[in-house]
Amino acid sequence: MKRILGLGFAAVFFQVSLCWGAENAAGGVERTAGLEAGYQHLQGGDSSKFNEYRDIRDGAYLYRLNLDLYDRSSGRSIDLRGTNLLRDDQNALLKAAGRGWSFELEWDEIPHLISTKARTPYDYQGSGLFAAPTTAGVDMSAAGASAAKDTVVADYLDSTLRAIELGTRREKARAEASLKATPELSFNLQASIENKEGFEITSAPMGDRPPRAMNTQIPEPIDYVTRELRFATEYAEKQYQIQFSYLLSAFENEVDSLTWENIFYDPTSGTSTTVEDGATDRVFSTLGKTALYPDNIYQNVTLSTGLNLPMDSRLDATISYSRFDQNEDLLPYSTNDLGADWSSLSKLPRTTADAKMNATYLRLNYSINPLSRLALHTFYSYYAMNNDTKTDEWYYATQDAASDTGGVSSINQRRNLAYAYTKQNYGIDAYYLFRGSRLGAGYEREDTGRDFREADTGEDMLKASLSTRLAEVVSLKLKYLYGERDSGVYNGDVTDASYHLSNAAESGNDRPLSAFGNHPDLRKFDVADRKRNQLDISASMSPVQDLSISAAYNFREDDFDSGVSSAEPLAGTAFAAASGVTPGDQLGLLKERRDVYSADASYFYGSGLKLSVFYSREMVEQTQRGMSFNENARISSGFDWDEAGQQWMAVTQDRTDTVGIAAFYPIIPEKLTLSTDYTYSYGTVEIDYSGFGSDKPLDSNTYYYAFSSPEKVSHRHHVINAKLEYRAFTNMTVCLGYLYDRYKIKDWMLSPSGGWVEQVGSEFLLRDSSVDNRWGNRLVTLGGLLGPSYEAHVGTISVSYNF
Amino acid sequence: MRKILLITAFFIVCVPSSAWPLESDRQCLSCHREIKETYLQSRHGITFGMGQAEGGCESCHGPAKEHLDAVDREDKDLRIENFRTESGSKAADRCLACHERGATVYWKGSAHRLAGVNCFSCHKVHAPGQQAGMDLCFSCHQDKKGQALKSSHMPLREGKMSCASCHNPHGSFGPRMLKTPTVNETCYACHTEKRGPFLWEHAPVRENCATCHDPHGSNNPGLLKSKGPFLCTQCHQYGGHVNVPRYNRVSATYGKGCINCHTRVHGSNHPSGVKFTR
Repeated sequence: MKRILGLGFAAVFFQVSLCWGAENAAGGVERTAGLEAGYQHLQGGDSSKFNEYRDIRDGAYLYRLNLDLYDRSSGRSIDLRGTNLLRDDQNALLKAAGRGWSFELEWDEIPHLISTKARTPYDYQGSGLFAAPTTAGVDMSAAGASAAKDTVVADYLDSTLRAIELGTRREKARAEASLKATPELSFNLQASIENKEGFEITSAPMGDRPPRAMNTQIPEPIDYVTRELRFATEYAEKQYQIQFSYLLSAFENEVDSLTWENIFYDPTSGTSTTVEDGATDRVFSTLGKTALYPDNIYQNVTLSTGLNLPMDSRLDATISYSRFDQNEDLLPYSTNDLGADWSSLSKLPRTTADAKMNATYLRLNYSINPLSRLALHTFYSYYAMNNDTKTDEWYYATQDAASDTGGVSSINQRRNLAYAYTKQNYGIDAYYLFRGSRLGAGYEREDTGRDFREADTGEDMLKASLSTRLAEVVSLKLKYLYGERDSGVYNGDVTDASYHLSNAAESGNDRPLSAFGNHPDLRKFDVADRKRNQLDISASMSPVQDLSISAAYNFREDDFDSGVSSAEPLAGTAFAAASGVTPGDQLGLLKERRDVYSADASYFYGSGLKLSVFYSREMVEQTQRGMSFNENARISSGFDWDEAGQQWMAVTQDRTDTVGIAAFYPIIPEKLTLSTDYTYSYGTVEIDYSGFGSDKPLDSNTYYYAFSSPEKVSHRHHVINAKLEYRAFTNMTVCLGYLYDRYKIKDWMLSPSGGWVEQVGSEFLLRDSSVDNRWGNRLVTLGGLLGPSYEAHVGTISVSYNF
Repeated sequence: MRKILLITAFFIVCVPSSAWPLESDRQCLSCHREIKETYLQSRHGITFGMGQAEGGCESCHGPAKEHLDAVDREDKDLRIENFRTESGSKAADRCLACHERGATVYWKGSAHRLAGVNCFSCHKVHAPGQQAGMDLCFSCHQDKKGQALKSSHMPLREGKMSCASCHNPHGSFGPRMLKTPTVNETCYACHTEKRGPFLWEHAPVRENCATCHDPHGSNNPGLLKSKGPFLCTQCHQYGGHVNVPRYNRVSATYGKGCINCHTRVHGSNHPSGVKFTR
């Protein structure tokens, strides 16, 4: 398809541009046509990161084709544009237009390369099935040192790993027609179809939960089709405008589910296998299955109007209604019957998802200049997301085999809650012109009501701004916002509504209804109290002609302190932990701060020399607190959720430094020019971890719970572009280009090391080497750094010609 | 007014392009020669040419006679509409006389207008070519420039997307000049598979994708705001393996962190997908 499109486009281009001009040179038709083609050589760049969203490779290159024909007498035009034709990131556009009408056809491709070094033991059979050609055949039921079993698995991987390319490609075809029936009335119709295909990364867990989980990263097949149809019309007079649009979007996933064989044990031997796991053996499935993204339909209707009113005022109003529907056939609870017909759809309360939501949006804006120096703006918006998905009770089969915990029983029945929310915003802004300066002040209120969330929130925001000139050469802008959000009563037990058991039927450890789910000191930051400060300062100046300098500082801080105090969540109950009192230290994200400093300068010298430089530093700091406690001992005498010593803190420093320099110099004016630019980006993420687990030794027999501040994550990226252009003839330019692209990454999450890590080929095998060296808790990955460091040199020679 | 302009333009365009410009335009060009070539290649120039019953240059800049008289008198006030020096609102009003429709219909209530931006902050009327591209936006939004160059990014710097893919710089009915009513509906325009709705919803995901993702760029994979398990533990403190990352456990620390098992974190359609593991 790619070659047909690219060659066809080029053929039309040459046919028209070479022939049209000869016939119509004297006919008043203006023609502009050009192309840029060449050859490029790539050295290095052996990483998916280099070509993550582009397609640079050895060979001939058709960078650009453009053809514009315009007939002034009739007002008709044809535009043809192509970029990177015959490559994975090509784009082609054909537009024909006349007075009052236009028609467009576009083809666009976007690659997303994830990895060229991923390896997997799996063999993809199609339709979402991953088969293991052979299995490790480890006798996991036998007690004994897991080190021996690890060796068996490592040898198995060594002999079975095969390469698989990870990445996707989007291909989109779009057609659009516009018609201006009268100067006021216009119509627009747009249709598109987009295919997205390839493989992304997902996982195939076996087991119900850590430490009873064996996991394998596998590629997720992506085979999506999105079809869209959009109709829009507008009636526009000078005093008022009305717009209406309707959008229908249908998403289809050609692969409904993911099925995988257990690489550790032969699936043909049965549906489950026993795994020795310390004191208690676990039952694991030999075949797993999960549902992938379901087909869905989205519709949106939007009606907008704008009215120009007296006193230089304007009202615009928009109402929009969206509808989300999804009714995919559901999978059964398990691929295996688990001894009681659990693989039958008859066990489900319903066999299709019957999921639907709708959203209504209303927005009103009113602006007026009551005085020549005073501008007022007021607004109101209302958004309601309603969830009409039917709630039923579902069994929680944690994996495709029954196990001692996480088995399929009434204890693990859950209700799917219909999350919904409404949001209202309203406010007023005023701006006053005073001696060449512009003062602004404003107030905004946001109220959000939520179903089945911990809190509704209300936030007041005050705004101030100043825009002025200092000494006629410096332009200065300041903007400040202060917001205070109140979550009212925080109900951490709101999700109890999803549990089956009532208080009277309590038994076992999983009793969130009478105990608690999340720790009572936790506040989820998106619904917690918040104090928000935002400050933006920018200045620009031209101290001398042809030199402009600007600098900016942006500050954002969110403080989620919610005044948490100690609580006695089990007071008054008959549980052994009834006397427990929480430490009263807020858990979760406590604060987030972002500082950005930036500056840029550009200089134009009389001879045509242009220089520009840019620098920015962004620093993001997040502070959060967590707490380790035994989930199975909430109510028993051995509870530990009240011990402050179980808390940990993590302060994450995320920094990015960016530098850019660009220069353009006409060596021989109008004949020979040199342009070059250099960009450097250095991003780091450091986590300072302290508290629980940080004092435990980390070795091959590391303690049960152990963590420490990890290594700094860093991304370092240098890009140098240089281009020497020689205008050989009036219509022809020869260009020599060079691209140097170097990227270095260090990421501890993707390159683990330690006594619990074993490297097998490009993959790493993680195992739980704590305490009793239990078998559970294994992760076989597709590889370490899937988009590793690289260094690339690209040389190009191209010719651009304008017909 | 608009009808007259368009009908007039129709007749003017039908005349061969070598038609003489208006007398007033010739007078303009006698001083402002540098404008002619570039203007004729601009959209306005192509559409209206240099000859126009309503006044050519005068249709935007005002009566030429008054300006010429003021020049002759060497007045300080040159009696011409100079959009560089006018206030943003006044400058924009002239453009809105024709362009208050389509994508610009929300201009008067837009964040840009309220911040003092006018049409000429971004557009060059006398020159050809559309004034688009990230560099234009970055000239004011400098903090976003460094973000766009981060390791985890959407394909803006590769030219497959632009700021205008999500935002309408002329104003919109959505927040932050987004083209849709919410952040999520903007993201769903490309990520249609995540629209759902799902049997099991992840509430903060449904409310706002930006709860977890930074769409402008991130140093963490997947445009995530925090690293691995430290993102999830900002909201989940259930106990056991949930609460604390441990090096020697698959559950949280390596690969994709918590997502190693909770793969369907955007929502699950499996009957047993309550914890997004299926």
